Amino acid sequence: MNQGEHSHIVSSFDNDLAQLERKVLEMGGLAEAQLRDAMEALVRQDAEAAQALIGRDSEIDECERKIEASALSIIARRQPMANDLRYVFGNVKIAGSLERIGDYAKNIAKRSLILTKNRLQVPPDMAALGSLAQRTVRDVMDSFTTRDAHKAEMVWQHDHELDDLVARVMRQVISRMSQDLIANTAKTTEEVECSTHLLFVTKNLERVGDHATNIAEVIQFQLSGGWKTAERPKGGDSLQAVGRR
Amino acid sequence: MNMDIATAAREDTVYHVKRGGTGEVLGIENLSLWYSKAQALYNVTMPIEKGLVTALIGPSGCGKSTLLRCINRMNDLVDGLSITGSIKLHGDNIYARDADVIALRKRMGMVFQKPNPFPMSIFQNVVYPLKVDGVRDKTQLEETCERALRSAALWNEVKDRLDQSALGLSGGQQQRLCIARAVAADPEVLLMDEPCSALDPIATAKIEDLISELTGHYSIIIVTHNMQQAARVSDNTAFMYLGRLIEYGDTEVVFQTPKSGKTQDYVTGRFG
Ligand SMILES: Nc1ncnc2c1ncn2[C@@H]1O[C@H](COP(=O)(O)OP(=O)(O)OP(=O)(O)O)[C@@H](O)[C@H]1O
Ligand SMILES: [Mg+2]
Repeated sequence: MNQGEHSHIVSSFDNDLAQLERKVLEMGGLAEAQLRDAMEALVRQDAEAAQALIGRDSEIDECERKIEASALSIIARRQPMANDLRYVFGNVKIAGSLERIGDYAKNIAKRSLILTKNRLQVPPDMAALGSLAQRTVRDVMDSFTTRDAHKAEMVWQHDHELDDLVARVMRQVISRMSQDLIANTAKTTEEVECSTHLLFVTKNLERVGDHATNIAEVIQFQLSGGWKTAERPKGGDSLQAVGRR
Repeated sequence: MNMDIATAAREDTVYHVKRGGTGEVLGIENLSLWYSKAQALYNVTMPIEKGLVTALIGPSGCGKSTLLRCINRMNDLVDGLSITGSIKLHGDNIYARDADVIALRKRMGMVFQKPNPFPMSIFQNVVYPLKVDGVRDKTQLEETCERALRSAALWNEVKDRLDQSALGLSGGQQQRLCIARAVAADPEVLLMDEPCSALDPIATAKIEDLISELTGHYSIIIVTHNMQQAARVSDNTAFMYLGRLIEYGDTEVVFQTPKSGKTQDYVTGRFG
């Protein structure tokens, strides 16, 4: 059943909510897949895959529009209250976060095209960072499906691990830039440009993690009616990673 | 009534009452009521904040009208009725042996589920409470009549036929007339039992507007089956079920994050 233990007196209301839920799940699956494809294209230097992904971005925007339309229609026709209201409102917020995750995936794909052209190797921990970001999105959407407040809390608690990895990858990129500089091997501006793209990719993955934790907060609001007020445990700071040298 | 009682769970009731800042107008305490042998209210304890709007919601037959009728002692007329507990108006028990029921009813306006205009002219209906009080000044009566009819969103429809019989009005107009009559008496507490159930959406909106305008000046208790209406007009909401007060407090909490599972099931339409 949709929310709570009992079904609605008006059973078509349950159907409306179930449909909305399916749309959010579909969108979550899409965001996760796009993130995976973008990272694979980047690591394998697969320009074709990156190009295909860039063309597919409208799918996820379409999902968001459908979720908004369903939510508006439910509000207009059913006037949801209490947990139903929180559920509908929360799903619109979740869709907003998933749309951003999709945007970051597309942005990574675009940058990977430039990196691939220049045959620039990604830093050693970039693939691991991509997997962790993907897993965070998957875990938070799992907690949505199973209405598992504890699992959502865990995603929220573990965001700092992703931040740590982000800081490490940034240091790897920066250290290569500096070595090139010292050895005076940075022959072309393209190489500096490429390293900058890698920094942005890393930053994008950090933002993906932030959106996943936002979703975790929304799920907890949907389930309990309360917003997280405590500060999240902080991990490695990308500001520090950059400011270090 | 102090904060401890208001916020703590007492018996089964969950409390999170929103304060008006000017104290309580009514204190309903441990009220139980029987129609002959059938118990209709069980230990209801409910402080009513002065100057706020309190909504009573709950499924049909849960005791909303019964509770409302206790507050102005309308139930006194029912055969075989027995009551325990107390209701205090500004600290005085209205069920005390020496309580003055007539004076009490003057301080409480009541609007019923079904309109009950008196068989007299529209004008006489509205100023009836003033006449009973001995007011004879024509200007005062006319001014009160216009003000009350405007408040009830009826003035424009009846201003040219004030001397015609109230029984010639439509159901919705009769209901607004009764609201005007209640307002004309300038009561401390306004009790409304589903006042909008016979009204079209425009008249309903006007009555809701009136309720918002009267907030602060009067204390209003409104029974409604319209959840959105309760959410819109009231400060506190009481959810009753099978004669018991299940949850009572801040309307926003009741409709957004209710504390009791029963309340949640009811406001989301999962009862049955
Ligand atoms: N005069 C009466 N004599 C006997 N029983 C009564 C009387 N008035 C009400 N009851 C009973 O008391 C219970 C509560 O009735 P009440 O009218 O207070 O319900 P309510 O919540 O106002 O319902 P509704 O939403 O249908 O108006 C019901 O079981 C009803 O049958
Ligand atoms: Mg009733």
